[in-house]
Amino acid sequence: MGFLRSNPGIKKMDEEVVEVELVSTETAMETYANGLTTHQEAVLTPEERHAEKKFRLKIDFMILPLVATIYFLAALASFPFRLVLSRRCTPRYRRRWSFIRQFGSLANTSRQDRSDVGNAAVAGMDKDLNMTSSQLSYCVAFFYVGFLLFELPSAILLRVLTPPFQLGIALTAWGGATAM
Amino acid sequence: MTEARNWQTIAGLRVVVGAFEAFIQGAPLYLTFWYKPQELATRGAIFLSMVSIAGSANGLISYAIQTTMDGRYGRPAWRWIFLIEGS
Repeated sequence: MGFLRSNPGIKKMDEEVVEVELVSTETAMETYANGLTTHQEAVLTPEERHAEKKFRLKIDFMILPLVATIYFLAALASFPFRLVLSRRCTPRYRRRWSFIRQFGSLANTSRQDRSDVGNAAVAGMDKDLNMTSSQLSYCVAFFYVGFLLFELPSAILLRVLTPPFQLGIALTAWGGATAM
Repeated sequence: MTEARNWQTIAGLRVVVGAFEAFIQGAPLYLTFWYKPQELATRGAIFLSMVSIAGSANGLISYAIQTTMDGRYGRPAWRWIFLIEGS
């Protein structure tokens, strides 16, 4: 296996001979030591650049608002905290890091009392249901039983179930469980 | 959780809610399918700022529910909080 060193696309545009040089993985690791070079933006023609810009705008208006709204609703109900993703790595390593970071994010769950259970308790749930304070904290803590168990499967299953299906079902089911 | 009659129901449903919220945590990973690293920085910032916005909206919404909707349709305020904030 090796990496393509030259970009055949550009050469073709210039009507030159296409030179595809295969280098060994070791050489590639040395050449592209920071991992960013392999990910480098190709030199695009104006039409391609225009098309890419249009496509990015489309994603920005279709996917980002939807996903952000889902996350807003999820954060409104309960507060699983997580870390930022934008680590500059190769795609392969980024994926691996995101698994690791999902475990790391569990260490950050210090604001757990700011969920709807906390608000409901303030609004008189504990008196109505005759809850002791330890029973209330069980209710808050049991959230993390399900969260811990399904955090890793969720990241793995995202490719299998496809994101629209997984996120849609999760949103509906969790909303239903809360409203039940 | 809206119709809960004892604390065990709430605790049990919290496990279910936690499980499904874990599945929503795939959303940041989903963004990496679409954006390049240098684009992901801005979009990730917008995305994660939702957590802070939700944190501030959380208390405001429950305050509004508590002051205006307590006892509506024979339901105490905390049931309305679960219904409105939860879903």
